Amino acid sequence: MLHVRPRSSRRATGRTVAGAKVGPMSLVVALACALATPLIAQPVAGRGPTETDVAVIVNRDNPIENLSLRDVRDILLGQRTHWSPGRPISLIVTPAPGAIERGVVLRTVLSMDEAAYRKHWVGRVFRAESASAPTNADSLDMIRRAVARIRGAVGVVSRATAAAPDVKVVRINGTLPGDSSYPIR
Amino acid sequence: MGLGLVAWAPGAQAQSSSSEAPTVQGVSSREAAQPGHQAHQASVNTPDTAQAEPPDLGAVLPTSRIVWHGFGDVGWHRTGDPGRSNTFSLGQLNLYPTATISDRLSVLAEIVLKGGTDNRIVVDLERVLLRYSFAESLALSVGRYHTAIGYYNTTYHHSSWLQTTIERPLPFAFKGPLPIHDVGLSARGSFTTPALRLEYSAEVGNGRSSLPDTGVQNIQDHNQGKAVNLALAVMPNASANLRMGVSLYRDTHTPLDAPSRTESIVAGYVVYTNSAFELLNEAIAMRLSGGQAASSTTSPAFYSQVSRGFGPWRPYARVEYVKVPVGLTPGVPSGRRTLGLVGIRFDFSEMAALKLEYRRHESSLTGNGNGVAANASFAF
Repeated sequence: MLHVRPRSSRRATGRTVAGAKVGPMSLVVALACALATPLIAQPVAGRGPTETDVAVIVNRDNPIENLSLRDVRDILLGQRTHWSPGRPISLIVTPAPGAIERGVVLRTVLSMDEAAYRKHWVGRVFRAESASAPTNADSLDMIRRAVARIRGAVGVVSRATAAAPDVKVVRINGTLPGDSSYPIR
Repeated sequence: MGLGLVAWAPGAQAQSSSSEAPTVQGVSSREAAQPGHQAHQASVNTPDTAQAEPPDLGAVLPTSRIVWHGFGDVGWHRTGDPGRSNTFSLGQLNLYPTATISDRLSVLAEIVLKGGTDNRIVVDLERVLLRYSFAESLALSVGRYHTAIGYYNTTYHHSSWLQTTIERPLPFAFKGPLPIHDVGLSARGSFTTPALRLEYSAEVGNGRSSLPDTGVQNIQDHNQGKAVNLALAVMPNASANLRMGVSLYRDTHTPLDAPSRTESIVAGYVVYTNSAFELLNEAIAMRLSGGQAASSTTSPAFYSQVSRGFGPWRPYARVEYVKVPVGLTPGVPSGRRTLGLVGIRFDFSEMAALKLEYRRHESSLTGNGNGVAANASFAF
């Protein structure tokens, strides 16, 4: 049986404040922090500058080698539906809401929060612009395996997960995860 | 380890762990960005997935299955019109199943349950589309669709939750002056260049009936001519949230007791939307020529809407205008209407919103007046 929650896809958790006294100033500070969070690219605690790099992986049979950041955005928004004529992007598989890698993509690629991304896909499917929305997987390993199995699939995983030999890591703007100028981190 | 999908509510997942829905061996759902739904897996293997797979991959592989989605809303409104009481009212309960049959073939239906003026609930099949995608630049659909006139009609369809305001703008009102639905064939696609993205739609359908009190010509076209609609939209890469478009609709009406007439509808729009700002501007010109009219009749319509999000709160305002000449649209009263509204939307959940509006209308038919309205809308 597969492990369900690998470390790299753990959900962000909050701290309970139940029972604690919270003053008005604390609420103001908390609200200000919450509002500022999406605007500030903060490194994940305990990780180096490239450890949060998020890789875009495709099937090894896919001839694609490089995508622009705009291409990735269009794919994840469903606005690009084919790798090339006759080669549909048959499956988009992403980490589940709450995963660190998903948050990185939402912030750096899509400039959206979770609610806006969901609403985007609700509308897109409703308008018959896309047949279905991306698949969410709790496990990064599951994403890797699905992409390895399906020729037209694309996935978003951690740099460590993408190191497996059964998938191909796509360059983004000509750079690979770990490069200093890699844009998805 | 199970192969089948289960009912799942991703909308609740990010909000409360207590309401977090089950997952299937690490994969929550193919439609995970959708509101809650029930999925039924009919088959698994496709040419890409013909080999045997570990069962826990089954839920993520391309399959043919039906996924149900929905929207709904309930409202309350009060107007200053004498003789009209304030009232609660059911909006539209919208159910839309989708199915991916293959990498290229998919189906969508939209079934709406709504109240009529006699307080009875009626069921309408608003859309049913079989869609085949050849390439990025071409997807063909056949069935009943929303005409790609302007922006609003094909962006929000019958969902109150998707749109910021409670109701659609006057020009795009159901049973209003525009042909909202049609039955026929449509093609659409997109082209991407370094400078911009271009989208097009081309539709050929039965068009509207020339007979009063007749709805969409679902089964039998009244005449030989077909309605044609062409739409183009441009999104500059320099501003991905900006969208500009035009459309041209043309149809021939053949009333039983009058010469045939040609209907032309030209629409143009400039729209800017991101997670904070929303600016919608559309103008439409409806033109009727031929027939008994001594000269052509042109009817203008427009609306402009602006909103700004502050977290879950989104204040908004809209002005709208429509003028319907006599005989322009069978069954639609002629006259001039102007409406201004201000309101606020509160998204108290990722998939539910409350809206409160104040409206001021001026009408050559019913006079002037004020009103307030409230609405709760949701997706599931």
